[in-house]
Amino acid sequence: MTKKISAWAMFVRAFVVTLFAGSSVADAQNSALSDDAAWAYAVSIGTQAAVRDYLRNFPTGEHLDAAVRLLLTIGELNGTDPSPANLPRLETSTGGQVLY
Amino acid sequence: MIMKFLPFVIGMMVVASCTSIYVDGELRNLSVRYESGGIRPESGAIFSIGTDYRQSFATAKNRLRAAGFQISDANLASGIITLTSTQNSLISCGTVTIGELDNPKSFAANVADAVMEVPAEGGGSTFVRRAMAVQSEVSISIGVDPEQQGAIFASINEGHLARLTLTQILNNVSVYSETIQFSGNSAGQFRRRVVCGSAGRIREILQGN
Repeated sequence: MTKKISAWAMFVRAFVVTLFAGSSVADAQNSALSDDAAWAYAVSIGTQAAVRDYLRNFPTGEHLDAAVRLLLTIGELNGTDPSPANLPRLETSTGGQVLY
Repeated sequence: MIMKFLPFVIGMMVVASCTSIYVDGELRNLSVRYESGGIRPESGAIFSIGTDYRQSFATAKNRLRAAGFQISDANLASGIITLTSTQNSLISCGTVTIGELDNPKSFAANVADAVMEVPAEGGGSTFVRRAMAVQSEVSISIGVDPEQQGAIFASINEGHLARLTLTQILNNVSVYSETIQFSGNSAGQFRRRVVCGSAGRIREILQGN
């Protein structure tokens, strides 16, 4: 009886360790790949919308500097209105709350 | 049950705002939300780091150097180790969650460099660069505790300066800049409501974690 319980305990422990170890490695690999892959995709498309999508999805991504340079090269930063007259006013408050 | 989660709820300070705007031809809800959390005040309380004074002092120096810190002074006679640091990991400022409500992105609020999409005044959106720079001064006192059979103890005093800036990517003009100061056992709050405090990292390093 004791041997059976011990064997089950070892099996469950091995299963749990494998499960968590495997998932964390997989997550790390996926996140590392997805940043690079998303950037490669944005560059291959080469449009403002593609670069903006990269910045939206990876606000602290590995390719921030390159993405910003590319956006500046392309010459548009605003989503819908590229006019420089419509730059954001960051310290705006609404009802006592900072807007963003 | 409610009492069980009450400290967690109280510990979270959430500031949220949401703006519906047209971006890329779609109506999107852009929001920025700050959540404070993970602050571990460095009270200066003593903790044990060994049983041999010289060895403990040397181990502390080696662990700090291995963690990338440049020690500015280490005096074996006085038991004082001082260092200055620009590592953002010494402080914790909770989490920033940005983007659309149904597809938010989160990052640590003490991250050195990030880009955020924000609503533009005249419609649409624009991107701003969010940067945080940290300067810290840390003093570690190592000594012998005669009441604990000569055990070696350490205590930590931290001082932090954290600067948060927002810069328009389009023209590199700074639109927000604020520096706050806080000690290891206190918290500092930016006008943008980001709350920062010690991450307890020095204590972890000295304990070999």
